[in-house]
Amino acid sequence: MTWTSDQIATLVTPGRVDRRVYTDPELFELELERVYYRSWIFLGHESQAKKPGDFFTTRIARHRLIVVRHTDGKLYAFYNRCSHRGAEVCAEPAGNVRKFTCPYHAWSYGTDGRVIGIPLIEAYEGLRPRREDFRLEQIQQLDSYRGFIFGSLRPTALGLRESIGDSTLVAFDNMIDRAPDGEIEIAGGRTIQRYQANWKFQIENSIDLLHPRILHNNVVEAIGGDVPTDPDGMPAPDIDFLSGNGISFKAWNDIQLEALPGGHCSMGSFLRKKDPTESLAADDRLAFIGQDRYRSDLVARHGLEKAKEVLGFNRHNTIIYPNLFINPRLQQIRYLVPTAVDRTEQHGFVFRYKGAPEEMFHVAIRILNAANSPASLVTTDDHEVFDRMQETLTNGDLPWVDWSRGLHTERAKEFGRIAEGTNEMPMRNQFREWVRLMRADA
Amino acid sequence: MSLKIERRPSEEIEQFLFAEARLLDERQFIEWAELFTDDGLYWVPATWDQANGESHVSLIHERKPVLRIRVKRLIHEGTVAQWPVSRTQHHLTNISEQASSSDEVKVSCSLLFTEFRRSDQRIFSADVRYNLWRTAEGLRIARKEVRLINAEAESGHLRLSIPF
Repeated sequence: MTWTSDQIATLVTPGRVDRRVYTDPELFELELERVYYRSWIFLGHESQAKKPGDFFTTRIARHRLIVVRHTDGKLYAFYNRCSHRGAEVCAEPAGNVRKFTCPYHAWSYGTDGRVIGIPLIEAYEGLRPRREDFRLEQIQQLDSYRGFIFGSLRPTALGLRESIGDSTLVAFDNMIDRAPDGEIEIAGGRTIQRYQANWKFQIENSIDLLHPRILHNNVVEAIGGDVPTDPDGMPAPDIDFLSGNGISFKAWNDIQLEALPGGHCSMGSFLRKKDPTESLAADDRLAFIGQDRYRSDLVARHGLEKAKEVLGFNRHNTIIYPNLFINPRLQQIRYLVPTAVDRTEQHGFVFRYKGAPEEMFHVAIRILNAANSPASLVTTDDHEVFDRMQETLTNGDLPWVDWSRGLHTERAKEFGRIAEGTNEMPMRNQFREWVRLMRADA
Repeated sequence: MSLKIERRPSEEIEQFLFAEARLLDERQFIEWAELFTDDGLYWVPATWDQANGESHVSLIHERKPVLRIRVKRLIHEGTVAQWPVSRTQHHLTNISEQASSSDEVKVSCSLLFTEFRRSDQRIFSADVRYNLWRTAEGLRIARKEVRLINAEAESGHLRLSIPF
């Protein structure tokens, strides 16, 4: 069937959604076009392309892109394919080049996408006068916020800042503020987890604060209360982090959720010390060697009051719709790459906060490994559940998916809406945005 | 060109590696973790040529105290990633010894790891390197490094539960 705007509207009600939003291949194709290609999607960080010729490749859903810094210092984002026959022009994930040359017939392109050379150009009928038409195709929009690079494949209704919004951009600000030198860089590779289910399960799960105490009770019991000690005498930070799943239902519920315009949302931290008034240590349950020096360096940079604010920033996940997770305390960004209605990849990256002790970076690496490696001690269980939901919903055993938890207890605020931790308000907010985007006809 | 010819390790070392693999295939995970020295490291790099696991992400980079928690979780009844459990076979070949002293042996092998779960069977291939220590309790693993040939698969890996 071809989905009309009115039919799409019937798929989402305030307290439940039709199973087909997760399973219908045609709806998925519409989602790519209307949700993924018309939104600002995170492409990377400027630290991945500092000097002229520096490039990295990335993806928006199925599309392979190159982001490269040209000799004039400007960033460009292209589809990674030759304008001649469509072969990939760049096979490396990152590096530095003077030009991109297609391996097939040696068409070559500058780092601004301009055609540099086409062997035997005169033999191609009428090509020489039109050679400029054969430049590497740029994506429609490219912009960045304080070094975080976003792009979109189609024109977007709003600019980058307006689309993401100030209440969400603060998560990026906080990352930079946590660096004693005021600079951050992506470093240490990436984790890639794959699961055989719809992309939306992950953006819902990452803000579902009822499930950790239940689904992840296995790791809490395996830890058994005592966080083991590392060879350097510090508590194992990955295990300390995972033990946070074991806080009480009441503690999870006490975490505040925010639902923001544009489908974005955020949650408070669950890593705070018991006494949040404890000056600089409010959000520093995770310990590392050099922490005292780090704190005093931040005070030197910001002054005491601002440093308290920076370290006390009460946020765990901030989720930018449709696919980006930001976590300043864990120095982490993750994004989703949907490749089919039932195939999704989650890519995770760690930032090095310049001027901070290297041990702090090592802690961030360990936490990403523990939580988001394909061998994770927690998300392997989440993804098993996603795959099982996908099977059930695909074969039609469950026609409607319930999203009614806390429907009548969410509250309006000047910036959006708030609710207690176990409320499903953020998922309803995601679906409101989904319907809005999906109903905008091509 | 000089071809590097290594030695076949003693039967004791070979049988130790087979016994270790058997513990995994028989799901004796708690006993498997106990084969490591107190700070023993189990490392599955996220890229083929990865230099270290401290400043680069890994699939797994854990010392014994964390490994113990990993295996306790693996056999926990609430671990849905193991409903039903995986069935595995570790196939070890090309076992050779790089160095040995009275208290340490460095040995490597090629590993074919086959896993069956629900309706899917999959295969991993790896270059595995061990540092084994001779202790009063017998041979112990001070370091086990598993270099998967598809470590950095472009589209990632489906969940990895059973140790290689």
